[in-house]
Amino acid sequence: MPTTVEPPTVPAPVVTPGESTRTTRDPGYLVVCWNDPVNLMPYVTHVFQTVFGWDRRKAERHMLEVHNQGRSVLVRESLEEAQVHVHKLQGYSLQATLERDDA
Amino acid sequence: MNLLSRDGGRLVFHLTRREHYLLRVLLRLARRGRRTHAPLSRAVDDPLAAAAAEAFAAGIVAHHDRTRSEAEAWLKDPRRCIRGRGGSFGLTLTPSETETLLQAINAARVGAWESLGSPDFEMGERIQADPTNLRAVVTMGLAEQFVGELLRALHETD
Repeated sequence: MPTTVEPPTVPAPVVTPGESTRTTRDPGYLVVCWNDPVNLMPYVTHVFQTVFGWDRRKAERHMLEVHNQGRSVLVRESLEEAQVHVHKLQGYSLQATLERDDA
Repeated sequence: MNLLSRDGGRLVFHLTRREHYLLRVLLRLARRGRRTHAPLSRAVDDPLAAAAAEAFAAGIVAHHDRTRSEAEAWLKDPRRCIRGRGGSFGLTLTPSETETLLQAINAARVGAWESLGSPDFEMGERIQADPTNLRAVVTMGLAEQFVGELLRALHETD
């Protein structure tokens, strides 16, 4: 026989004065690859595949963005992770840098 | 240079005597080092990136030195780079080592390009035709061939 279950009492959220709901993402760093006139397009595609584990289609899309637009934002990460990726990309002699993303 | 086989995850390359010699010359030329490296960040107002920039730059230089030294050592190692009949060689590398060789050769190519003043040939920039520049152009072309072969080998199963 069905019984009626009392709903548990849910406490109201405690709002501390001065606190607000976070509406923006944590500050992070963008890993950016810049166009250069020396590295070959298949080479750049290969590097993106190797460093980020991307499939060829995604790697080529970013390579073409670099080639046609002068730069491509590859990933957004913490400072430490972004540094590791920039180091790997520069190890392959690509023009990669990081920039803070406060958006 | 061409891929002979993949054996248990290892790549075995055939190198003619000439290719073996030219690879070593390329790496020796690269030993002079690239003159410039990209900064960690192009932003001028980021204190965190600025603080890390110096150590980062030193790390990149050390990385390029290490990859070149490793590649040179492999080509000299008679157990890894086995001389066959007719003076050709069989070079055995893991995929990771092949990536290292690729980086070292491409760095030689970029270094040669920088020695030309980093011209943008596609934009119509031209260089002076002199022996020094000619050597750099030949270095770039040679490195490009090896880079192409290594990329083909690494993606052969794609």
